Amino acid sequence: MTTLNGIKREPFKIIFAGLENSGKTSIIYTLEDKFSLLNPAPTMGIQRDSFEVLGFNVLTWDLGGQSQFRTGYLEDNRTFASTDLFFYIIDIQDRSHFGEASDYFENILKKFNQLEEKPPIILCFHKIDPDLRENDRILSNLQVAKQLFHRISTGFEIEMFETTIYEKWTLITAFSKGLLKLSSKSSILDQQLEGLANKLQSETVLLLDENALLFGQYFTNQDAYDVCQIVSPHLAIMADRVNKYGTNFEVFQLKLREGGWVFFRDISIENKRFYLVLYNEQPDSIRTIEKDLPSFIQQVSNTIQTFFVGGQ
Amino acid sequence: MLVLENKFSLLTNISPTKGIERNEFDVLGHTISKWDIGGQEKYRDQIFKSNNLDQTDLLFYVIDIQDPARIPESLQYLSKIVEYFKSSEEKIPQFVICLHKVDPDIADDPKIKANIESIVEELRLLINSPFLTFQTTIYNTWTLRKAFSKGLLQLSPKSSMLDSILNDFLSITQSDTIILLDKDALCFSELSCDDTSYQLSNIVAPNIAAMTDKLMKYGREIEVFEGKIGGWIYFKPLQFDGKKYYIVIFNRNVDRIEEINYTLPELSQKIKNILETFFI
Repeated sequence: MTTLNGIKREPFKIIFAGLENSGKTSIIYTLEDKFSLLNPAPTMGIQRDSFEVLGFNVLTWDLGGQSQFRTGYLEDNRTFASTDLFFYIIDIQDRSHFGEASDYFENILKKFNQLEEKPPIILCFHKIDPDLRENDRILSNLQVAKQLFHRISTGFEIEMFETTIYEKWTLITAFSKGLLKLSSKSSILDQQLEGLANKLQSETVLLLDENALLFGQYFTNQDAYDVCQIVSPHLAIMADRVNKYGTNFEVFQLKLREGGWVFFRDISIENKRFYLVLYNEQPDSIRTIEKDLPSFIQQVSNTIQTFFVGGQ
Repeated sequence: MLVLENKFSLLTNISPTKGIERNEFDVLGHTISKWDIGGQEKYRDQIFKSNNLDQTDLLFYVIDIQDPARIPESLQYLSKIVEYFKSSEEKIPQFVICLHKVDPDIADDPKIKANIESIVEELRLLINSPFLTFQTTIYNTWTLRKAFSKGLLQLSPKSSMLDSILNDFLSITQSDTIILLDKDALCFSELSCDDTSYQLSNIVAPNIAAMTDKLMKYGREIEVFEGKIGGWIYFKPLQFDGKKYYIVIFNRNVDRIEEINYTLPELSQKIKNILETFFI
């Protein structure tokens, strides 16, 4: 077990797989803010690699390509055995390789079935760059890919995300949703957030770490939750840049034209920085937060400390 | 250039510009003709032929600072362009030099910094007319938008008027920084009393603009945004003639909020009047 900033971690096996040039390495560099490394030539020939991403170890696997021996790796039980979390990256711009990508995916799922393992799976429909989001060709590719992958994923816990390296928050959201599945404490934390939501009359409460990774959530209103999901990564990235500049970030709040307030502030849990996101219909009920926070922090401290440790 | 037109998808497998590609686009109702001139050696002399460079108002020149070996070559080509204008009857355009690929993770690297300093020094000797330099990277599109908008602002006789209106607002409200941008995050004016509030406002402005855009696509709009970051940051959308603009204000004193709210409608009206005829 490793310890990162006071939070213990199991040595999870997290895999990023996808065809060559699907964008795995770029995703990792973007999550780590290593922008100057982004341009170089594709990682041709390196089939397997290992990275540290926001404190987690990630293995990448290149699928496809010319050489026969690669399938050998795929057949080796050890390659995918005991996977805790599986990301599969699909280049949505490259429709001609959807068939190959889905064949590999299907084979990997078969392997998981053989091993009698069901790791949570995150599908990233990648390279949906900001200018392409409304592009007809891309929309049609996306629809085809979604149907294709949905059909072969029966029996697995799968979530699909649309991602691009030009919007880091899309990657944070996908990565974060995956990591959340590694925790056995997730439901406990969600209950603790519910307690806080009730006290403050909040329609949504989210808890993020300083990398904007989602640790817990509670909501009573889908619309409020969606708004918080949209603004959180932006606010977290902003708060992070403010802190890195050397100025202390305290709080952000925004009022929506149609009514509703979002509050975003940092809290320190076990000397580690976290962000609390609250959505309230009225701003007044949030004013008691200073009174309620100490007991909330005490309550969640233990859960957070052992968030990524096995067992209940 | 592609980022400014939001063509991110073309960046990754982009082929170099061949020859000269020309197209037009609109900024504030004013048509800008853009001439994208290929940098490969075989195209380099094309621009000196057939009056391609004539009547240029604004010339962006991009230097890749991650490729030090080719910087002398790049400066040499720039000097040929400068010479062309000097020897012709043409007026000398406003030069905007983008020191490009200053990616966020290497911006503070001492080597990169030294490199940039020496380039700027050489530029001074090379272009002996006023020019602007910007450090840019595609991983922070705000850097590109700023370089581009500051260049464009040079073309407007009204931009100094806009600056002076915002400057008045700064002194009346005793604020530290004010930035006016449009919904595409093009920066129309920014004034600041100190570097810290300037840097903080520049962290917030582009991120809030992007967030506002995302919310708008979801059908929600921000009425006002506030934050406490070593001072008070304030963001408000303004709308004139169906176009959206954003104003970002940094003030160390939270008590000034009333003064700001009181003065803001008048400021909006003045901004509206100027923008209407900005490029005329």
